[in-house]
Amino acid sequence: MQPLSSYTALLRLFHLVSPALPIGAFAFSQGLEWAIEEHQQNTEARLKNWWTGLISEGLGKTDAPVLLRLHGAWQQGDLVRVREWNQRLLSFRETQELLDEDRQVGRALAKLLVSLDIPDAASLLEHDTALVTAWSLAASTWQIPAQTSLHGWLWSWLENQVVAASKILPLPQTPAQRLLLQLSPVIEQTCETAAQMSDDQIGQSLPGWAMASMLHETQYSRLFRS
Amino acid sequence: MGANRTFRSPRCTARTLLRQKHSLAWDSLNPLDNRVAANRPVPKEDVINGFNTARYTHRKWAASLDLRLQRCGNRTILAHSQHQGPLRLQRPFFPEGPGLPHLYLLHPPGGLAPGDWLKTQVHCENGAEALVTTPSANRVYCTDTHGHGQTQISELRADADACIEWLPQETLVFDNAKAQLQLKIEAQMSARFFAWELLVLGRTGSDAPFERGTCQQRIEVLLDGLPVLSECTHLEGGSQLMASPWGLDGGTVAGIWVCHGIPCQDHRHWLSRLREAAADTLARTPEATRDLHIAFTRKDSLLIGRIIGNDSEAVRNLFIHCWEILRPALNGRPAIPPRIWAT
Repeated sequence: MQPLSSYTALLRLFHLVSPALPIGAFAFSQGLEWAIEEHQQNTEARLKNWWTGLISEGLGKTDAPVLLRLHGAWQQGDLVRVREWNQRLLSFRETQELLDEDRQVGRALAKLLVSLDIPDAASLLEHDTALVTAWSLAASTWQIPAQTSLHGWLWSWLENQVVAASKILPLPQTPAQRLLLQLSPVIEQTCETAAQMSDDQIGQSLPGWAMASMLHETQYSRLFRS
Repeated sequence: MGANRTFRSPRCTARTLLRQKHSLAWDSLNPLDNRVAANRPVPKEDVINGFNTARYTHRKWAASLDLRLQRCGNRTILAHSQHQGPLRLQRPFFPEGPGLPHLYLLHPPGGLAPGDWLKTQVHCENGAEALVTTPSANRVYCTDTHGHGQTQISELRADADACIEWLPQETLVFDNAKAQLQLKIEAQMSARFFAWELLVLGRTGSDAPFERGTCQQRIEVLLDGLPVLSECTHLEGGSQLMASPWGLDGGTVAGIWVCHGIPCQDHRHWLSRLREAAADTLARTPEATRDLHIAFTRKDSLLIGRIIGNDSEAVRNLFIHCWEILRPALNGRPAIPPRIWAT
């Protein structure tokens, strides 16, 4: 493979984290809609606490360390390990909402990567694919370093949540932007911790998050899908 | 003995590799992490009841129970039962006829002291059915000055058309315990199971809340060898996870049940039955069920219920109610609560 310049890799990362990436991630709120409307997570401070917990305790101990492992597995062409971690990720999803979202968005990204002529992407369409699995393939192919791609993935997750909160609350622009800025150190810390985790430390369910996602499935009026 | 053994052909497909890898990943969890003790000199008598205790801890009381059930015509028989240490099986009851024994697991010490290591395996072979429960709540006491932990491993296996109901009473985790609790369910797609785990953190309604120590719970479900549910909850006393709305939100009782074997096309119906019943209970007993959240979902073939609350009695009753609702769909029998629950 031709080495890409670091600017090219950076541009590819922008491509991947862009909200314009057509994978449909905006359709789900991951329980946020229930948390805001039925569980009073409706102020700037509470949202900050909610997202800090989800990033550092939830994603930081599941998707984040797995993304780093998948990135390595793709680079080594180890498809068995890719499938194994992909299956593990899907098994971590606590609810129908979280599983459906991960599979749908993962599949949409896999299809996009096929159409962008990324070799190996077609193998993802044979099975259920988690978003992080497809994401790490793109990052590895485009020579975005593992840690950089992890920062990007967490950023795009957070941005997506902030956009969802803006629609649900609505959250005004300024606090939304402030939250993005304030949570950046949480993302950095989480990425650092994730890099140091051993395989048997991976996995953490957050009971309150799972409950929010489950109760969203029966919420009376919803903007987002379950 | 040898003739009964079945050997799988060593096909080296990706799926086989995947299965082997996953079982390795699980086994590597087994020497549970009591690293505090690992640096200390190891006593000579490190094998107790066949377990190499020195690998895990300085002080260790190992106990195990290994049960295998077989289908013989219309009966389910206990084909194999082996125990080591203080973990026993009471003589099986057959309140529902010979096809489905009720099994009571006994742990006479009544709780896990520092260094205790318990492992229970229940294997229902093709077509065998069993209900497993315990006569009383399980206790995990606080750790000692050396930081020795307590481990409880439960492994259920359900072969083709078998059915296991795993309904142990709740586990009370005392303040400053160092508990590792694992439930692993390996089932074939055609098998059925309903399993719950109920955790009570700290002594409820008392002055000993769970403020120190750790409780690590892992629940893993494998269908045809592939992991389909991995619940890992690493709770630290007094942590954010205990108090925050994304965690237990101040709740001290947490439970999950998982059910497999009810046809997927019926899930919608059973989910709405469960939701109605839960709403009804919550409306009828507002006092007991204050601060209680119960919710249901599905994950492909699995139905899942989760509960967070503060009243262990209310939580347990709701879970029993869920089991009563689903049981006819699970194994075609009305729910007959084990007699021991009434005592």
